This record gives sequence, C-alpha cells and structure tokens, in this order.
Amino acid sequence: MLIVILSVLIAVMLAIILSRSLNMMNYVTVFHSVFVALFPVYLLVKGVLPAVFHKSRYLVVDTLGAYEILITGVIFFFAAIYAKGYVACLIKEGELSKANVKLFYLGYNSLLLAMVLAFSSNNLSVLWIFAEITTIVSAVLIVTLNAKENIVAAMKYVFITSTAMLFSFIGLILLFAASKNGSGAATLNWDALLQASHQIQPQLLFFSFVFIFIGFAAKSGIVPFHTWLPPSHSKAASDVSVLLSGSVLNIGIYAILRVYALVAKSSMGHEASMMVLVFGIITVGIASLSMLQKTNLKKLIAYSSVESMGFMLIGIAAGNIFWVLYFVAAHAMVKALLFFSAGIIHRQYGSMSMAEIKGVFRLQPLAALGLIIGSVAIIGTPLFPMFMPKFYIIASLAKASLFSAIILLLFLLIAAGSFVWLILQLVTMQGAAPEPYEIYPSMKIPILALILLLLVFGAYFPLPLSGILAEMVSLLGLGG
Amino acid sequence: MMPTLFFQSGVGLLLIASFLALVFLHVKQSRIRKCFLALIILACVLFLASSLSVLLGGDALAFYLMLSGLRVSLSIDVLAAFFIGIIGLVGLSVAIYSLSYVEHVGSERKKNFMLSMMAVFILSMVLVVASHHLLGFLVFWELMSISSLFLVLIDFEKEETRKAGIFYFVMTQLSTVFLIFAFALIYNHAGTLEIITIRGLPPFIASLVFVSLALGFGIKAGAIPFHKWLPYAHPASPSPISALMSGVMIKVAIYGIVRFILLLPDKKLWWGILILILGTSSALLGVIYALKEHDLKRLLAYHSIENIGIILIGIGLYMLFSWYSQPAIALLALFAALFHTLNHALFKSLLFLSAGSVVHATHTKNIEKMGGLMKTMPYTAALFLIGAISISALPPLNGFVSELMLFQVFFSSGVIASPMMTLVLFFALSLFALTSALAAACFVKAFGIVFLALPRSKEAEMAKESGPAMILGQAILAVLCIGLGVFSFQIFQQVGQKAGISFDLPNLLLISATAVFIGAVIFIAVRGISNRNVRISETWGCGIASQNSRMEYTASGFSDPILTIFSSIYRTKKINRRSFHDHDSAVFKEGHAEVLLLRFFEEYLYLPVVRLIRFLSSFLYKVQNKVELDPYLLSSFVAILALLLYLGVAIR
Amino acid sequence: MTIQLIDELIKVCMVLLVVLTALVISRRNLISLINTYALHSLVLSAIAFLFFLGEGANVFLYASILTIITKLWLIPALLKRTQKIMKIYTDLEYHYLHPTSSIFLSLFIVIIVFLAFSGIKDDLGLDPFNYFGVVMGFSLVLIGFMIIFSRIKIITKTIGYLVMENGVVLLSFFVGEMPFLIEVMVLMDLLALVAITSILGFGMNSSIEEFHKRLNPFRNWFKKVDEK
Repeated sequence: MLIVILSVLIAVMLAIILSRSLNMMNYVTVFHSVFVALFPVYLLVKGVLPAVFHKSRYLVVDTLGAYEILITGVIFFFAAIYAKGYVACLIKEGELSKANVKLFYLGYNSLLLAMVLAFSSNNLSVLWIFAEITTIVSAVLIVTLNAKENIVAAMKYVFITSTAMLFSFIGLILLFAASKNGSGAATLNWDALLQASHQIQPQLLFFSFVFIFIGFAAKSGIVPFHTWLPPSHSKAASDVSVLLSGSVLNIGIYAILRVYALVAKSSMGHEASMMVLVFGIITVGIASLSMLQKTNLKKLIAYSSVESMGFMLIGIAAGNIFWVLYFVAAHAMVKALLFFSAGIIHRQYGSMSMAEIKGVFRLQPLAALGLIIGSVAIIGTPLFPMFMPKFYIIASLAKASLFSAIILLLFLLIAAGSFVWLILQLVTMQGAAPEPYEIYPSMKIPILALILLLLVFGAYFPLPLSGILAEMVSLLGLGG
Repeated sequence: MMPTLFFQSGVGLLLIASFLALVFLHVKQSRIRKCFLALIILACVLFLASSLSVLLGGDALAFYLMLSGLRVSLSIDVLAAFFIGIIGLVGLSVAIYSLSYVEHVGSERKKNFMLSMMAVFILSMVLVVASHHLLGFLVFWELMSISSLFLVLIDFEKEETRKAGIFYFVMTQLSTVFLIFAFALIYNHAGTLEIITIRGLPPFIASLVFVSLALGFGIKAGAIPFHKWLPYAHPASPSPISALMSGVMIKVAIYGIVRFILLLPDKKLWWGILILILGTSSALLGVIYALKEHDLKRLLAYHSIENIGIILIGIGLYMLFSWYSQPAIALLALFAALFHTLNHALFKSLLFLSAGSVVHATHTKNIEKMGGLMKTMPYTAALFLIGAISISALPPLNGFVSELMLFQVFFSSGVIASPMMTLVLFFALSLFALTSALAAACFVKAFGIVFLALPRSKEAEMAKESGPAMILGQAILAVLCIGLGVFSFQIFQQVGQKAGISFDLPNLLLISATAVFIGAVIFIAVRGISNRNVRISETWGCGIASQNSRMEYTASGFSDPILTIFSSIYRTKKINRRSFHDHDSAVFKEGHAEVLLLRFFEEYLYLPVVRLIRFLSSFLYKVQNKVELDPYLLSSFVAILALLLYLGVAIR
Repeated sequence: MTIQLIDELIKVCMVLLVVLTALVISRRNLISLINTYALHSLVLSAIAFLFFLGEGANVFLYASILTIITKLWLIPALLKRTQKIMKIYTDLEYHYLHPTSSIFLSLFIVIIVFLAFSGIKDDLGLDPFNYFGVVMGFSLVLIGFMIIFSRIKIITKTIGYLVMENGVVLLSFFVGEMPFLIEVMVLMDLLALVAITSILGFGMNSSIEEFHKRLNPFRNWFKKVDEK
C-alpha cells in the first residue's frame, strides 16, 4: 500500500515540476487531493483498519488517522478548486508573481503529503517530524505572496512553533525512556505505548505529557503559544488560510489527544485533564476577548480558530472525545467556508479592514452569504453542525466543573457577540463601493458546496458517522 | 388523532410559507404575500383547533420529530395547549393585521423576508412550547431568538435599530447561556433529556438549576433588572412584530418558568420569594418607567415589563402557598397568573397593533405630536380604548378579572402561619395595588394625549383610518378581551369543575348586562327629555381669542405630578456648561444646560460590564498586535518556565 | 579507557559547553558567534563519541559523526553564506536582557530545571552524573530560547535555536538513545529549518524580488515557459 501511495505522490510532484501551465498544475493538485480524500474512504469502507504500512509500525493508519486524513483531503480538495480562480486573481492583482506559482503548488502538495504522513504516523517521533515539516512548508506557502509582512508572519510562525516543538521532542525522549523503564520495550509506537501505558511510571508519563503538550499546543494555536496564528492566518492567501486553519491546526489537537489517551488512565490523569482544561479556558477567554476588536476580517476568523482549538481542549479535558472529534470536522468545514468567503471579500475591496466592507450584498452576494452562514454556524446555532458538540461538551464540562462551565459559556457569548456584530456590519453597511469584482466560478463552487454540506450535516447526523466516532473513542480508550 | 394532524399540518404550513417567502424574495405582487399570510393564518387556526381540543377534554398529544439524528419528543398537555392557544390567537390576529400592514414595510425583499421570518418565529414558538426534549427546547428557543432578531432588524438602516439589534442579541443569548447551563445540569444529574422526567437532582443542584432557569427565562421575559432590551427592541421593530414579541414571545419564557417550576423537585421557600421579588419590582418599576415615556411603543414596552411582573407575582404566590401547603390558594394563584398571561397577550397585542396603526398614520412615535385622532381614526381609537381599559384592570374586561384573582390570593395570606411572611405579602400587596393604580393613570395619559383634544402636528391632523384588515385583526383581540371579561364567571365555573377548585368571582355578565341595561335606559331617557338642537360653540378659553393645540394638556404635564412623587426613582443628572468671554467669568459667552434622566440600570449594571470587557479586549489587542517577534517568544518562554515550576511542585 | 576516565572527560566537555554557551550569550560579532556554535557542536560530538567509547552503542558513534558533518560543516557554512549575503557583521542590541543579566537568568534557569526534574530522577533511573547531564541539557534548551528572544538579528536567533537543539541532543544522550532513523530525520528537519529561517531573514532585509529569487528554485525554469 505504501508503494502505491508513494508512487502517486512522486507522480504528482513530478507532474507539478514538469507542468507548463497553471491549469495543469491545478488539475494535478485537485487529483492529488481527491486521491487523499478517497484513500481513507476506501479504508473505512473496506474495513481494513488499522492499515499497517511497514512492519516497523512507524506508519499505521487507524480509524482516527483515517478520519483526520479524510477531513484533510476534503479541505485540500475544496481549497484546490478554489485556488484555480484565486491564484489567477492574485496574479492579476500582482500579489503573486507568476514565477512563484510553481513553488506555490509544490508547497501545496508537499503540505498535503506531510499532513497525510503525519496522520498516518503511529510512531510519535515520526509524527513530530512531519508536524515540523508542515510548519516549514506552511511558512513557504505564506511567503509566496509579494508582501513583506508575510515574511514577518512566517518568521513568527516558524520561530514560535519550532521552539515550542523542541520541548515536545524532549517530552518524546522522556516518554521513550519511560517506556523502556516501565515495560522494557523501548518504543514510541503509539499503539504499543497505549497497551503498556499502565506499566509506565505515571509521574514520568505526566512529565512527558506536559512537554509534548507545549509543542503541539503551539502547533494548534493554544494561548499563550498562539501569537503566531493571527498574523500568519490573516496574511496568507485565503486558500492557504483555509489549509492552515481547517487542517494544519488539527495536527496539534490530534497529537495532544493521542498522548492524552496515554496519560488519562494513569493516576496522574486528573492532573493532566486539569492542565488541559486550564489551557483550554484561558485560550477561549483570550481569543473571544480579542475577537471583539473589530478591525480585520481575517484576523477575526483567525482568532475564532484559536477559540475553537481551546474549545476542543476543553472537550478533551471534559472527557467528551466523541463530540470533540465531530467538532473537529465541523470546525474544518466552517472555517473553510469563512476563509473562502473572506478571500472573495479581499479581492473585492483590496483590504480586510472591516470598515471598508460596504454594500457587500450588492457586490458579492455569495461571499456575504458564506460569511453569514459561517458566522451563524460557528457560534453554535442550532440546526448547524457545531450546536450538538457544543451542547454536549458543555454538559460534560458542567459535570466536571460547574464554575468553568459558567466561565466558558460567558466567553462563548462574547465570541458570538463579535460574529453577530460582523453579520450586522455586512448586512447594514451600505456605501458607494466600486464595481463588482469578477469572481471565477471555481471560487464559487467550494463556497456553495460547503454551505450545502453545513446545512445537510446540521439537519442530519449520519448513523455510520456515529459508529466511526464511537470506534475512535474506544480506540483511544477514552470512552465512558 | 385529528388534533395531532392539525398541529402537524400547521407546522408544515408555516414551513412552506417561510420557505416560499424566501424563494420568492424578490416578487413584487402583493397577492403572493396575501397567499403567504393566508398560509400563516390557516396554520394559526389549526394550532388553535388542536389546542382547544386538548383544553376541552382531549388527551395530551404526543409525537416526535427527528432533528439531526435526535429524536425530539413533542407533547401537548394542557399547559402546552394553553400556551399554543395563546400563540395561535395572537398569531392569527397579527397575521390578519399584517395583510395590509406588510405593504407599508419597505422594499419588496423586506416585506417577503418579514413574512418568512414571521412564519419561522410563530413556528419556533409553538415548537418550544410543544417540545418535551431539552435539546429540542434549546433548538427551537434559539430559532425563536434568531428569527425574532431578524425581525427586529427589519429596519436595519437606522442606527438605533442596529443598536437595539445587538443589544437584543446579547441579552437573548445571555438567556440561552443560562438555559444551556441549567439543561446541562439537568442532563448530567437526571441522566435524561426528556423534560417530563426530571428527577433525582440533588438539592444544591436543584437550586442552581432553578436560579439559572429563573435568570434565563427572566431575561427573556424582561423582568427587571434584565428588562433593558424590551424598551429598545419593541420600538425598533415593526408593530405586528412588537405585538408578537410582547404578546407571545415573552409569554413563552413564562411558559418555561411555569413548566420547570412544576417539574423541579424539593422546592425551597426562597425560590418563591425570589420570584415574588422579581415580579413586584418589575411590576412597580415597569409602570413607573412607563409613566415618563413619551414614545408610544416604548411606553407599551414598559407596560409589558409591568405585566410580566404581575404574572411573576402570581407564580411567586403559587410557589409560596404551595410551600405552606395551601394547595387551593396556590392553584388560584397559578390560575390567576396563567389567566393574566392570556389576558396580557390579548390586550398588549391589541395595544401594539393599534399603536402600529397610529404610528403608521402619524409617522411619529412621540405622543406629544399626536392628539385628536379620535376624530380621524375612530375605530382604532375605540379598539385602543378597549385595550387600555383592559390593561388598566377596569371591570368588566379581562384584565380586571385576573388582577382580581390575584388580589383574592393576596387577601387570603392570613392563612399562612408565619406572621413575617404575611407581613411580606401585605407589603407586596400594597406595591401591587399601587402598580394597578399607576397603570390606569398611565393609560389615561396615553389615551387622552393620543386620541383626544386637538391634533398637535400636521401629521396627526392628516392621519387616516387604517384599512379593514388592520381593523379586523385588532377587533378579534378586542372582542376576546371583552368576552373573557364578561363571561369570566361562566368560564371559570367550567374550569373550576375540571380542576376541582372553586373560584369566587363576581358574575360580570350579570353586572355588565345590568350596567348596559341601566345605561340604555338613561340614554333613552335623556334623549327623550332633552331637546335635539345641537349648539356648536367654542369652549371658553379664559378670554383668549383662538384656541390651538398648544394650549392643551401635554403628556409631560400630565405625568409631571407623578414624576415629582417618584423623583427619587428617576435619578436625574444635571449638566450645566458655561463659557465666558473673560477670565473672571463675568461676561457670558454661551452656555449649555440639560437635565438628563439617569438610566439607573444602564449606568450601574450594564455599562460597567461593557466597559470592563472593552478595556480587556483593547488591552489584549494592543498586546497581541505587535510587529516584533520577541515579545511573543518571551511569552512562551515565561509560560514554559511556569509549567516547569508547576511540574516541580506537582510531581514530588 | 576506564569508565571513570570517560566520565571525567565527559564532565570536562560539559564544563566546556557551559563556557561556550556563555560565549554564545555574550558574543556580538556574528562570525565569531557562528564559530562558537561550531565549537559547541564539536564538544557535543565529542561527548557522543565518549558515550560510544563508554557504552559501546553504535548509535552514539553515528550521532557523533552526523553531528560533525551537519553542525560543524553544513550549518555553519550555510549561516556564514547568509551572513555574507546579508552583509551583517554584528548583532549589538539586546531585548529585555543584557549579557550579564542573561547569565544570571541562566543560573536561575539551571536551578529551576534542577528542581523540576528532581521529581522524576528516580523514575528515569538516573544516577547523579546522568542527572547532571539531563539538567544541563534542558538548561541549554532554555538558554537557547533565552538567546532567541533577547537577540535581535535573525542569524543570532537561528543560532539560539541551534543551541536549543544541541541541548535536546545532549539530554537525549543522558536519558537514553533514540532510534538512529529518528535522529537522522531530526537533523534533516533542522537543516530545512535553518535554511528557511536564513532565507526568511534575508527576505526581511532585502527587496521582495530578491527574496523570491532565493526562495524559489524553479524560477528560471518557469521563465522559459513564459517566453513560449
């Protein structure tokens, strides 16, 4: 299986390098992401999970990995379709020089590759390495635009996450040593660690958990390691922002979840969940307060990503993994919708300043609709996919700690307030704006598709999905 | 199964109506809007039918619907049927009223959008009441909040509407937050999401659930001190919407309170006292604030607060008396509260609708600029008068009956063994009585200034009577107001037989029949005796040659004595700025003086919170918006050091 | 050689590391900073070699060789090239800290690390000597971090990051060797990171076109397409 995948990937890379036209590169990228999206579907339908790639068990796709790959594939697929028009727009505006397009698509596909490999890593240090690679590749993607601020943003991204990730590596070293001392077999393979977790010294396990947490928290923008996220997500081209926000951020939570599964059942499980909870609440609080500053549309969306990540941490701490996993998928869809729409707004007004977005319904009705539906969805309105996870996670949290549930609810209210402000602004701001900017149809398709998906998933919760989610929870051993 | 079918087809019709209205957002023909409204009217009639069939002795309906993988059970028992009946009634008349009103709303899109949201709004309210599943309740509750938010924002071009919208949203979401919290607690401890089976809550948790439910529903109902959104949102939205919101939506919150209070186990004494305090303060402050209001719709909004207070007093009394195990009196209080709920829904919707007609005819909400509308809009005036009599609790209309029932409950507080509690109740009684009196005064002012005397502005002079649909919509409500008052004795005889208690009400039918008879006799007698010559002459105006409207008694003048009495409640702020030409402040250059009413709750409760949040947010923005990299690295460094210290302490 | 002698030698190396780290903190000349880093890595590889002699695990030998290749040759060369292109020779300013206060903070860091790790000393089965090594390694990581946020120029920041990484490697020697494959991959990652940061650092000081020229290896290739 590994050979099939690798050959597809090599073919993709070669095709990109050799391709001579923008469209060609785009088609290859779309193909690649379709392939990635279908791959886990194939595995899930066939029921061959976990799929072992190599006998070292460094790369194993289990249900959780397949689920995350599926989300990644879908997000990359939409972004690839969107990129066709968006890249053309960027070139037309002179924000992206033609010479950089190849680098852009190369980075795009490498990022997808790194993501897939990260989610297929059973060995935690391999996961760490691929997570690092996603940082580097994302930084390259951010700086392909012709703007100096992007370099600064990328710099922040690289330095803040990489320094924190080094602490994660220390955590891995300690975990490795702990597994050697505890069970005799030194390994960083996650499945083996999970089996042996009761034999590992709990204090040591907790110690390494804390360090691993630091790095991956930085990767997913948890306060106080989040400071890179707003600049880099808001400065990147909008299709890249989609990738970063909808998909790359998931790696951090994914890794934290895996390692948390190791420590949760030990005698230090309570401390671990308390720590995660504290970080989660602080994150949600700071992010929702920051969202109130109504200056930059993409920054608002970026802070809302921070808030959502914090919420996922809270869900993990509250022990409601089932709904956290559903929330991950819902968040990816909503974030993609928001950033896609913001991209069109950016093209229309040439800026992301909220004060300049006037008469958007007349100029870009689809983008306005996307932003409004995205905003309504992300604040957890009923009949949208974020509602059920929010309710159940808050319920679990109220069981664990009443006080934090109240605090969380108030913060969520503040966050919702800023999105409603955004909706009001979009609906009400009229003004003599320029002519409508011509938007390529390929930029509209993903927005329409995502709106449809959100509506469908809001009204209908597919039963197989519930089975898959439950399977992942039992895989992590965090059920009940 | 006919009632169930009625209900379901009502839901379906509303869904279709809202969907079609969205699809045909741009359609210009008013005929198609009539069709949408016909659908809504039909749906309301169906709801009414199903509710009546339950109320008149049918069994509770129970069915379910699937909602994103969730089996939401719906059930219509007597309580739910009562509220669905209210929604159906008010919805029906509002929809009829809108048949012509909607054409005045603005652009085509706005009209169609308003109808679509109205359908969703009515639908969501009905489903909230019918829902017997906590999550379903939340879903529909949110749907109700959001559709009503859109309705408030119909006139979004105005700055004040936008402000009202954001204020309304924040308050309504705050209420949802408390509800989510309470429901999460119930779910955790009772282990179920079904509303009917809340059991096994530990005492502390039960109290917590009660408090957060009281807060959540209290905010939505507009109880003081969470009332601030009402006087903002009602004037901002179109009148039929105000009628729906004030007449029905805040009643849905009352439904929530009643429903959960009936269900919650081991009730405490202080729960009842809390509700009583909320009720009394809302009633009294609501009416006092209403007195100084010159914006017609805002005045009505403050009266909604007052009446919610009265309803809450009833609920509080119910809880108190049932704690003291006086079930008969408690039940009387509950019936009084529920009956007042119905009555308030009727007369407040009526008042809002007639206010809408008036505002539409005069293009102003300021009552100081109205006057003399009795002549130009006679029907509207008569309908408003019926509403005003009803809200002032004058016999023989329905408002009188429900308040009378409450007074009866108060008077029987002697049965309570604790003298302290009796004293408290008598204190509440005195405040309640004051409220009733002030409400009457306020409506003398409202009716007098708006409809009597001479018009005070061009617009008022030019006002025209509104169309037949608008009159019909109000007339339904007015007839019900009269009917429920006059036939109250007969109705409550029936109800008393069913509930097994007896109501000690005067037979208003007899009284009013007698009154009408006597009145007719006097009228005929006077007409027979007097000569028929009509003499038209001017009233003596102290010798001033011509009288004009500026000589009339104004609203400010009318309410001034009362304002003086309550001046300690209306806190005023005096601003006096002067500037001078010279340094010694001798030669006066210009000056500015104003007397501001201090908005107490805004200044001391809402704004400090807002300021704190704003301060925090701008501080965070400054901190997080630096160009350099180093501060951020420093922050992660410090965080890591802190984690290290924590590890050093935690692992020993 | 006896184990004791090796342990003594390792101790000497660690003292050297401390001295070199202090130099990294206080140097302002970029070239000498890079050279100091190369020396730092040399000492590290010496420690690895000593471990190889002491414990006989081949992993240490490979690690030592790899360290020499990448950190003594590749990375310093890369850095020096960047430094030449960017024409920056000194990094004079400090943020938040000064050389002296940095050194005091470093002492404080060592104490905190010592206290924090004392809780898991026994769980890891460390004797006092290894424990000292672990504490040293972790302190190096934090000191590297301190360098990153207290120095202005990107090259200095990169060197701070490299010092951090050296600390991680040192720590791993004393705790237990990682699988070789992972060590290699980590080094590759490190190389890529140094490359990207130096390109980014270059970009901050130059025009955007120049920057993209460096960033983009396919630039010329694509131009041909354009001309067609």
